[in-house]
Amino acid sequence: MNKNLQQVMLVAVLTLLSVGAAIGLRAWLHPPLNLQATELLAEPIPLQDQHYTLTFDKIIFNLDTAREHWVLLYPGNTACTQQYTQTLEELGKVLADFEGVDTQYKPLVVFIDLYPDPRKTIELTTYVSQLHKDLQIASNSGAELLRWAKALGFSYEQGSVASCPANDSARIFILDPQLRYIGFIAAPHHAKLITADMQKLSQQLWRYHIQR
Amino acid sequence: MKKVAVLSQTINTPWLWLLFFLVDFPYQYGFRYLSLTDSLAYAGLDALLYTTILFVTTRFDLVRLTLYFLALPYLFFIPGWLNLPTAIALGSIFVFSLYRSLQATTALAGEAIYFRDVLAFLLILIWVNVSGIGGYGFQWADYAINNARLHDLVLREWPIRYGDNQNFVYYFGYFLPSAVIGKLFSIDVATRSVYLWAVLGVTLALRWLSHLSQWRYSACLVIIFILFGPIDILNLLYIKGQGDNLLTEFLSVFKYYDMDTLTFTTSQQLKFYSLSQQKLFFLGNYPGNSFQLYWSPQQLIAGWLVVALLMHLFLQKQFKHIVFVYTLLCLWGTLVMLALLPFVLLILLASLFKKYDLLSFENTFGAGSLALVFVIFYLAGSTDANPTYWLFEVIEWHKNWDLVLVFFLAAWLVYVLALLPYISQCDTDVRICFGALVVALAVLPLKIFGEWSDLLCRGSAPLMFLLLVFLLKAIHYYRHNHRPFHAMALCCLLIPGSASALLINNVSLMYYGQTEPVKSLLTYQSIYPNFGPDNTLFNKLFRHGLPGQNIFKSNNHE
Repeated sequence: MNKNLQQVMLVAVLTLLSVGAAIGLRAWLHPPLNLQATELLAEPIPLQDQHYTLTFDKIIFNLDTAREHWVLLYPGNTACTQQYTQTLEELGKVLADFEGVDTQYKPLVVFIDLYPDPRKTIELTTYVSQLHKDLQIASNSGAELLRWAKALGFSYEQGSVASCPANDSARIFILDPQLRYIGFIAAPHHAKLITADMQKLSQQLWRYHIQR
Repeated sequence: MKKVAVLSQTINTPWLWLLFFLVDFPYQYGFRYLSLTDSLAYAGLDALLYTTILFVTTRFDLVRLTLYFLALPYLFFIPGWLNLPTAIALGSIFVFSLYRSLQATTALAGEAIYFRDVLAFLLILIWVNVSGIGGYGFQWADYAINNARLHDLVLREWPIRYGDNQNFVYYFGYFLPSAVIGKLFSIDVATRSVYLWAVLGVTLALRWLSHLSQWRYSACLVIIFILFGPIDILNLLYIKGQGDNLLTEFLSVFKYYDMDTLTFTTSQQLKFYSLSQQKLFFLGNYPGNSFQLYWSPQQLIAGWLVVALLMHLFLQKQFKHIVFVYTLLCLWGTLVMLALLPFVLLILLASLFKKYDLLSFENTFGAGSLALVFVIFYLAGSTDANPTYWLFEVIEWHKNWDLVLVFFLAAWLVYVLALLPYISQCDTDVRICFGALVVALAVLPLKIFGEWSDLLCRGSAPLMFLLLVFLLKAIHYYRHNHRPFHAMALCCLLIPGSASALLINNVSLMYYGQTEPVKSLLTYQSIYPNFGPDNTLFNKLFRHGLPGQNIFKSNNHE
């Protein structure tokens, strides 16, 4: 066998080994998640450098504090009473499912009030705290919320909205521990499905760490 | 014979690129889960960079490469931190001293690249990758602040000043080349470039280990280097063995050992066990190479390179720039520099005694000007904020003399005692070097400096490197002088010293991918060691800070 042919064969064998190792590693280390309610983005969108902040009743939710946690963000309109209450109740149940779990895997759940009404602050706070003590509320100025809307890709119009818009999509947005927007959960929301998906995602935690 | 023949095969650069590409592609696609296009692109680029590093470190002169590596950060610091007159003066002296040092060195001949070089280099790539450098692997706690230093060096104008009495003062030589790359491109590129910079440094250190110990540069040498460390387990066994039921206490050591996951309950268990458990202060240890690389690469790599150069220059009787080489540590690691001081003073004393000429421009003006500027620079920081005391002030020697003895035995004394038969038959210069090393090892823990005994923990790195050089030299000598039993005995001595390294590498692999955030130093509470006040001699005399004169601006904005 001449030298050139030997070299070609060697390259072919090494390439096959490399491709085989690549496919094998990918399948072994990153098995399909089989998420039931979550739709993942093709590429995560990083938010950590954007200094997004949310505030409510003088409490600031800074994105930096959420690092190393999974975050569920639910931007909602309190004018859409049925939708937002149903979703918040489900999110309360999700938090209950994660009681006693290591904080590394327990998600932070934040309801973003898109059209805050100062007259209803206490009422809303009381309602939310009754659903679960760890359920957080946040909001901000219209301009800041518009930034969030653009980053996460939901529709938002500044100014007050008295009625529930027909196109309210009621998505729950998922941020990974490196503060990247990785996917969303569309309505209707079911606590058990959300809990199951979040457990699978958090078990695959390292997958998101080594992606840069 | 066939196996040896394969390892001795030379390999040319296109094949080298292909090999690295085929190894890197599964990592990018399978491990990092990148898309196919990204995986091919990253693998191609990485292969090119790895080929370049291996080619350069194999074929080019080792001494000159090392000097370039150590000197490069100064070419950024001098114009970036110093005012114009100081920059011109120091820059000229520095460049001229470097030029003279490069001219004076005896070139270490480059070689062809063999397959064994490639295997060794692959191991280095893996080791540095796992260490957390470059944002890969697992980043231990100190990376929070290391990432912050790089972040601010990239995103802030030089010299860095956060506000009133908040001037950034630190030995950041390791970060500077990557920071410059970050200013040109992005912080992500800067972070990745740190990995390549560290790979280059570690490869040079391994080359030096090979040259000084006369061991062939190979995967075996790299493995020994990765696993080398103090015999910590002696400390653990001694402490445990002091209980009422000696057998139970002894066996209890092994209850920490989880056979399923091959971990101890904490990887810290071995390294700082002795004495610190008995007292309220933190003694520290002479940590192994893996621990050092995983926690403090910014000081470690330069320490390895400088001590290797110093030993080489001393044994080659090249003294004209030996002091200048030592002062190259100024921007890389002051603690390492302090720890090496007894060693350097002793070998200089020996050279003076032998009437070797130390007087040269680089040893006087070069070294002197560097030392002057940097002493003033670091005094403008928060050195005073670090706790410091003498060991004899806190140890009750009459009660704990046995623990102290075990501590020294475990850390390095066992190795030194085992080396004495070999050293006794070496020539005078080798014995002088060894003697200087032993003195430096012995005096290092006498002064505790830093909240976490940083002087001992960081400063011991180059000394342990040199200790390994002597161990490997001895093994090489015994093997080639038909004394296999002696060689085997020394090899066996290296085994218990690998326990810490096995633990820390295991933990790093288990948590591979968990990294610390990259954000400004200002977000950290315990940052006093990095900040200095405004009203200092450095700021008045040397600091560059007039408006509009910041050369190293960033194209990136926070």
